[in-house]
Amino acid sequence: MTAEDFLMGLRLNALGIIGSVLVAATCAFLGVYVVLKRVVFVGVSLAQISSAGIALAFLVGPWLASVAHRTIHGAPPFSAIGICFEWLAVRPVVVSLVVTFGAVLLFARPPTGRALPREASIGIGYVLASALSLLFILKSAKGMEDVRELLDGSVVALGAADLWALGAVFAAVAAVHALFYKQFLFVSFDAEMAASRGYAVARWEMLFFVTLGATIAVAIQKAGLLSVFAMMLLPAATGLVACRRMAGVFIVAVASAVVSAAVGFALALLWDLPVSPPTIGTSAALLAGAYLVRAGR
Amino acid sequence: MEPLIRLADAALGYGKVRVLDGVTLEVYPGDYLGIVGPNGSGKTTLLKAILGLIRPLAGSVQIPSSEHIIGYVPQRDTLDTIFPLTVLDIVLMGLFDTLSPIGRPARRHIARAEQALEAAGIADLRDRHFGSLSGGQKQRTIIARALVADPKVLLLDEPTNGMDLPGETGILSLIRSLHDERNLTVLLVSHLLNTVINHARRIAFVANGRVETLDRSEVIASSKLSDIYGMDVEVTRHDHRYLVLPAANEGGQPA
Repeated sequence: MTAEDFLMGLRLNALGIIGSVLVAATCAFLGVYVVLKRVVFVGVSLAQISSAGIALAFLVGPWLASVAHRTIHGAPPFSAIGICFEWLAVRPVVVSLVVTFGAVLLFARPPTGRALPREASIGIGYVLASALSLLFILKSAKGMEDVRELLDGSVVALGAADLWALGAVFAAVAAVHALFYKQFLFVSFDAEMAASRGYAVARWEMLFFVTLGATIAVAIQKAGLLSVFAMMLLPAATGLVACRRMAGVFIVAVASAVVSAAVGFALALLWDLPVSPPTIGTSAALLAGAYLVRAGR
Repeated sequence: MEPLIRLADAALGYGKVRVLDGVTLEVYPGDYLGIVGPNGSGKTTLLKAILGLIRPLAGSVQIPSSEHIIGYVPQRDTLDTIFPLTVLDIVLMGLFDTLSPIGRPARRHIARAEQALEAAGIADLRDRHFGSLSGGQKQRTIIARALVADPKVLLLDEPTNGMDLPGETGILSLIRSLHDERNLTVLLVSHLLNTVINHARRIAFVANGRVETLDRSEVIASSKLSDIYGMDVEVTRHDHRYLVLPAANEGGQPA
């Protein structure tokens, strides 16, 4: 590939690059909490459950479209159902959001009165979601093509409307976290003390997981399972290895995610690869660099 | 005098399980109450009820003041040292409900946090990473976090658990001086009677689903300790301090 071709590729994929960077930055920001709260397994599980939602949407999409085609011109209420189904058929993220929020409700329940530890419920969610994803994909119309999209996303095909939608969700998540940073930090660090000061710990936990679930659900369709999970883990780890203050950790995590996403996308274009592997590789290299810097201090 | 905390015939527990029954306890301003009992006896349940984290299954738990009057000091091992927080960051958490949602804490808030650090004897550790502190320093940090909100009551959960002798002595002296100099009401939870017997004025024994409160003089003089612990126990005095020991037989071995 010539330099000119490469630059042309970057220009043509500008929206995809911006989308990748947005997904990476938001996942990295939330990833700091995920690592600090020691709920990495929740992140993996939510990502897998969200993927199962996308896979379910792939499976039922053609059926929804066919029902919509048959009913949309009929009499009410069938026409309304048709309109809904037509809208849903091309928006797998809606199914993914519903499934993910269902899982959030289950995972964020307070531990009292549970017959099983939270980890067991999360593990069960993970294996069920993995099995269902496989089943849905095998039975879907496109098969292996859907598997690739599920793992690697479709960020290359990101349009302006998709980008605005991603931006709106991520801006809302950022606003919630900017406004309630102190509450999220206090509840994450010392839930019992926070409760004794009158904080509704269960509600703050729920709000955190809702923002996490929303981010994962909208990000996973575009960036894929691998990138979303990696961007929640590797940049946060880089920030924690490199910095000893909360602000520094967030800044380094988000910056390393942005660099990983941009460099990863460029390498994918250069070597004609899926976007996830070079993005994850770059992020892992930055984490290794952070370890070296720390060791050299 | 109006009590700061009043439990009246309270049944405490979780769901349908009653851990403690018929709990009647009043805590007055300036009190120093030790809450003692073996592991699993229900001390934490009592503590949670006082903090308002669980509701009584029967009876009542009342804190007449409308303000947050209790400064809670949890067990330091419950705090995760992976968080990149300095001592000052943690003390400022005690003021979070008075800080603006966005931006750095105001100078007056930082000044209050520094005063609390001074009171806890760790002003020099202000910018140290919490994870790098010794057990005693961590305990002082979370005591400072409780103090910064200017509480009337300090409720400490096993503050000397797992500490060496100098650490334990330092923390108990600090609590004593806060009680004496600031007239701070202290509730100190411990599974070791020896931790509290030389400091607390009254001791609430939590055992067998009940709570029995005795003045220190009653604890020292009576045979109730043997009943509570289900073994022969004696209280000896050495150098103006009391020590609770299993009663010895003629050979000097525990009976």
